[in-house]
Amino acid sequence: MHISEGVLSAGVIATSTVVLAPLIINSIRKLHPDDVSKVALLSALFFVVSTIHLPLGVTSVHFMLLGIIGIMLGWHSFTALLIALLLQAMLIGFGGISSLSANTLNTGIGALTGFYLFKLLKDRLPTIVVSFLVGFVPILVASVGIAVALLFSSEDFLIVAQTALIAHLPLAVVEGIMMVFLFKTLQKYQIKGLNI
Amino acid sequence: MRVIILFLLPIFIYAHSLSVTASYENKELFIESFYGDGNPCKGCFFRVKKDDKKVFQGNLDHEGVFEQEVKLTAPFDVHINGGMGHWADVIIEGNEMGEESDVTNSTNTMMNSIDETKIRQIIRSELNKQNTKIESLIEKNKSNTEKMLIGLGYILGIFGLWQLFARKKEK
Repeated sequence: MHISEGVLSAGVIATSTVVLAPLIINSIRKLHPDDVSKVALLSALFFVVSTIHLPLGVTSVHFMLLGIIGIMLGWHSFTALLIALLLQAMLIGFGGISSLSANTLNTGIGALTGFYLFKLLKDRLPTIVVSFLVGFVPILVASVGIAVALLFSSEDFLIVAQTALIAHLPLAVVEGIMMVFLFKTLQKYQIKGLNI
Repeated sequence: MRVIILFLLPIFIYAHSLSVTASYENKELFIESFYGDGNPCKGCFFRVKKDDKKVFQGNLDHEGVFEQEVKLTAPFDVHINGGMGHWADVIIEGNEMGEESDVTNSTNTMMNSIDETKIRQIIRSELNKQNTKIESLIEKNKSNTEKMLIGLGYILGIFGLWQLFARKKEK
């Protein structure tokens, strides 16, 4: 799901940086000291789960848990994801520094989709449906973001973009199912501040 | 507790970082690349760059290895693309032992019929390849969990400092 170093065009890098910068600045300015530990926890969660790759035919995919990150952090998801993706690029070689803003923006928008989806649907649909959608939709949104970034960089990436979309469909389903179980567990323990 | 177990369990599933080792000796380029779990980077695409300009490109074989005579001038960078966001770089420095080709065999009269310089070059080339393979084995044994723990340490440090400064500012 990470876009590699040197893949994106200068235009895409510049655009994603310009869009991401105010979101990060706003998040840092508004982050209450009490919420820093929550951002750290979810940044660590994303860092760990997205380092683990599952083989899928000729390629591999990884978990992201963007839904739960979005629900718990809202707009602060961008900060948590930026730190996790920066460390992945520097320590493990996933993604890259030049593609950091695009990767953060894609995953962040996915997490934000989960946040608003949950807000919108939690009182309207059964929990099992809401939890599945909160796991499923953010992955699709993030993979569409990746595909768009690749296509805007070069038309040669059409096949790669299509592969990224198709490869993440099964992952989205698995994350949806995972989210159903995660919601059940979190509901059972009624974790403070989660409001699930 | 269950939630914590659910979050930590994936650490023990294998992870895919990409490593690369390479050598260039007697115009022979040797590259080996593999993922964090030791699996070879099968058929991965690589690029050789000198001063940010592409000078050579190719694909690794099914064992994640490339071994071929290529006309290059060190130093240069080898960039491997493992697909889906995985990449790795290695820099090949200039050959420090290159000057040894000037050594003559005048002291050894018994070896008149054999070109000593040539033998030295062959031995050096073979040793270099073996060294690269040993380096590659050492890299393979480095745990990816270790890198993940380092990352988690950084996260803890970054946000710990953040909280510290935020609290001080609040006071």
